[in-house]
Amino acid sequence: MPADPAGAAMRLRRAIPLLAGVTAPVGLLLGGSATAGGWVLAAGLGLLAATHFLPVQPSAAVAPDPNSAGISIWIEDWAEVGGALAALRRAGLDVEDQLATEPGLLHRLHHSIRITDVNDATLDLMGVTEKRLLLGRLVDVVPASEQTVRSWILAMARGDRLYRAESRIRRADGSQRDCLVTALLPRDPAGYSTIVVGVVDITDYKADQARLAQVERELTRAAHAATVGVVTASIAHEVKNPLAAVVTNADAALRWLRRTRPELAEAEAAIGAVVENALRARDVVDRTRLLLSHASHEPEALDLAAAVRDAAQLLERELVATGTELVINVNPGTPAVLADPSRLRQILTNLLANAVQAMEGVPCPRQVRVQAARKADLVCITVADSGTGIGPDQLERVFDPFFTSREGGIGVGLAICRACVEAHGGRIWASNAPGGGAVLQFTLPAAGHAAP
Amino acid sequence: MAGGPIIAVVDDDAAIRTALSRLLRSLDYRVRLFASAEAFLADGDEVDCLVTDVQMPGMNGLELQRAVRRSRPELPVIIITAFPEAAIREQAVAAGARHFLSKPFAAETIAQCLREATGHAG
Repeated sequence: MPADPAGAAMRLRRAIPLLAGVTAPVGLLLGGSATAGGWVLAAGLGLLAATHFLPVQPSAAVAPDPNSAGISIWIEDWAEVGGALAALRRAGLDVEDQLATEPGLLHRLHHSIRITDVNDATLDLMGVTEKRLLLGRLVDVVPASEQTVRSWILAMARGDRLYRAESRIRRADGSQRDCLVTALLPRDPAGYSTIVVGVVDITDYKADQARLAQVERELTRAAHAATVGVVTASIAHEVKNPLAAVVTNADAALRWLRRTRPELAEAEAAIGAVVENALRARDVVDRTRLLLSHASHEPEALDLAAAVRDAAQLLERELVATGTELVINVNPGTPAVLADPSRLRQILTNLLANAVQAMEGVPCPRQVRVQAARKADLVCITVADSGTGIGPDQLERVFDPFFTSREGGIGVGLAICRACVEAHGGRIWASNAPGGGAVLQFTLPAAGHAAP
Repeated sequence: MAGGPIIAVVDDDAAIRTALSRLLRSLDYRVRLFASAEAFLADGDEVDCLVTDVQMPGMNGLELQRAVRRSRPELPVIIITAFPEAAIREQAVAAGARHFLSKPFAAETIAQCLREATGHAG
């Protein structure tokens, strides 16, 4: 606990936007901080801070403040990470590459992070009675995986202002709690030595959400199955009638021709009807495709990162419920793609949903990485998961309609993706990453770079 | 040929009606075509076997089958449908249908059904 009131005041001020982050109006407040400047906003929120943030003041050590209910605050020193990021930036090196290739870098940075202060709510959360048990190296207190630390560092390297993630912590008694971790990331190198992290116990909330999501999934599946059933039944009916006419006419023609005295006129009429009804079946299929594609599909220049974020938003519940981290990495200079927005959304949501489902039953960390890079006139988009990959004999078949390896799966997701990609003149294929996990890649035309 | 059993074909799809007409005539049956169940009930007395679709506007094939069972319980009924759902099949069989065929069907299949239903060697 800091002895100097000035230090406490400094921490208090830093923590204010963080508290905003863990209460409801995140977007609003962060929007405000971006335009009005952090400290102006902080002053405006003084009242909120006074009612919610008493525990970091020295007096809080005496008795827990009822207003602090649940919000655990950690002050952490990430100075060595800040220094390393600044050095990499000076050297013009890519942080993600360095973390992946420089042996021991991630490990060293992970072990350099120190917890310098916590509030009383943190003692409750962690199930300890003495603060000193929680101070020191982060890795000793919270055995966070290196991957978690990696995602923090990457967020810092990107210049993100807010870090928010779900995390599971182990209490002193061995029980585990699900937590929402929120931190305002530093803007300047000095800020790295005092990062304020807010932790809210969301175990009960998550359990409720998981139950809700389960019910919702079952309802969606039932509704989907019902819709698919109705649609396929009516298509079946529309197609089978002309097919029946084709088969029956062809059989009739054969029989008229095989008679002792062939009836050529009957056979000719029957064969004419074969052709007519085959064309009728084709028309039904064409009409069905129009019906199911329900749009004129005017291609537009679309920003891929934004499209991925939109798609991810539709799947937020699945991503959160399964603890899946989504990493979006669009190479700088990647042009916009020329695509129909609804089809691109369909492709991305199907691929993301597929990736999430592919990792069911796979231990954490679960990660979906979406990358995009220019390839001549095309943009190649890669969606990779950290699941068990695709069986080698299945790589060619995953795009076939009604092919599924998942119990209860219908097997149309990737078939729809292929249809949507091919409608743009693109190509989609599947492979396995050398380190495991399925990799789905597709190409779309790059939008021309003629300035408007 | 002129003296073969008369088969009534009830289907709202004209292409199916004419196709079945060609086929059944090639098997030496006489054929009468009806575009609806109502048309058959109004004018289908003199037939030896009824072949009917299930899904039709107005009275459907299962309702027609029940109506026929009351008025002409001895008339053999063959159901043809593009919806070979178990529920439909069970109703049809419970109501006494001789055969239940899923469209499309091979000529030999319906020929066999008609031979059984009419005793004709067609």
